[in-house]
Amino acid sequence: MKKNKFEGLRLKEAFKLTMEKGRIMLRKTTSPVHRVIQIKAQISELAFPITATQKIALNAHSSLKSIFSSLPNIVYTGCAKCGLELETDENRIYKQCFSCLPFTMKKIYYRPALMTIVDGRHDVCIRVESKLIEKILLNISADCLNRVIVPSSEITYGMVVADLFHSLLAVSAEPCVLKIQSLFVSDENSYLLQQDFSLLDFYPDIVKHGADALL
Amino acid sequence: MAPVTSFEPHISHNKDGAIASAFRLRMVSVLGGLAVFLVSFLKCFGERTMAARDATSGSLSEESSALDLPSVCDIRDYVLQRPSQEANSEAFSSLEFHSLPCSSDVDPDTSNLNTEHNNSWASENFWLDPAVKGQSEKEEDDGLRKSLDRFYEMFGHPQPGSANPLSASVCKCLSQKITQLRGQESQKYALRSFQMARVIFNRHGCSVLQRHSRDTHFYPLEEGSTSLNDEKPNPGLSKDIIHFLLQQNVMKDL
Repeated sequence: MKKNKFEGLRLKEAFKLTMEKGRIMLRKTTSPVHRVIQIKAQISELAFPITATQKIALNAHSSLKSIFSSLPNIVYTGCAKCGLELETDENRIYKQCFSCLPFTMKKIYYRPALMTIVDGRHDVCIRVESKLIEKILLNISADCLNRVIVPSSEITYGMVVADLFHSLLAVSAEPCVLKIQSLFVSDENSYLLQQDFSLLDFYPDIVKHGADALL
Repeated sequence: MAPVTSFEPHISHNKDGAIASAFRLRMVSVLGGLAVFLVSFLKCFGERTMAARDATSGSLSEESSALDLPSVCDIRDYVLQRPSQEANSEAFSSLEFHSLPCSSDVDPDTSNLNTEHNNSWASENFWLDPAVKGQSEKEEDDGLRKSLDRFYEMFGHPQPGSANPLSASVCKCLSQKITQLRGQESQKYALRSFQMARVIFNRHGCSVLQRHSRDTHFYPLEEGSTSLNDEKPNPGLSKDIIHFLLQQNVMKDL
């Protein structure tokens, strides 16, 4: 009996169909298997790891003001070319990205997040890269969070970003369609060694895409 | 005859400390978990009383030598004033008699409210009065909410006097969708997306729509959307919204 919805999926990934010498062979494979799936699920949490032990977690209980206050901690300054987080020296000057020298431009990025999605009984943790976080936030880049949207108003892009996070994580929020890449690595006995999910794309319910739930 | 050993509580013949010792032992056994705090409290108080007695006549007197200690109820009331400390049982062992509830570590210092609040996701903070913190946080939250709602409404309509028919058409289309989404609790994200798009279109014009509209004249909508993906996005404007507007044919009469 399947313990969770991923059990059956894992067993499928452990086998690969090949054509050898005119015969269909079903071989066990231990190589990583990637699969792209599209699901409809509700986002219950967005966690931004800052250090190995520290993270900022946004969920339905997070107030609008607290999300807005957390924004300086969920962005980082990195190399404009490779995205590597840059540290500062004792004079608070950013160090150079040696692998990209002589390119020395800097850019502010959203920290990669761990998105927890739920579909009723099951929840899954998905890695979300900086670019996709920016897409979820209506393409508002981390560079312009402090910029006012309209000169005669005091509302900044950062306040709107906080509003978007708040609405996305609301308890009553509509499930959204997510395109996820799964990665399963099994050993020769089909024992699951590694299970990883990363978000490839995000489709809000604005323009219905008619995706079917696979989970 | 076998020797009989009897154990009796040792009563000190030192009149000044005898009753104090017996009372301390009883307090420890009765109150159990408050033992450490009560012993330190009583020791301090007993020393004060003994010092006061030493200052007066050293001769035996008939007046009562019972210590005038506060009742157990009073001590419990004092402890209950520090609910944040009760959350951690180890706090009792570290409580000092001299640290009163008004010390800086438990006083809700409003000047540090925002700083503490900023770090609230990374560390746990225990406040003496959670209601105070919650009240100001709620007020700030409501203030930000109202400012945002006012912003979306104020800057979501075309400037009076502007005679751009495309802007008017786009604004009308988006406003209809916003009205439709406003009553639905589960569509908050979509509502914000449309509200922000309306502000951006009013602020920066509809050139992005005109650009993509030219493409769709030559390509089917699906292929036109490919060029939409290649273009650098406008902050605050989702490509899904542009796609929605193109599907609504807002430019069909232009």
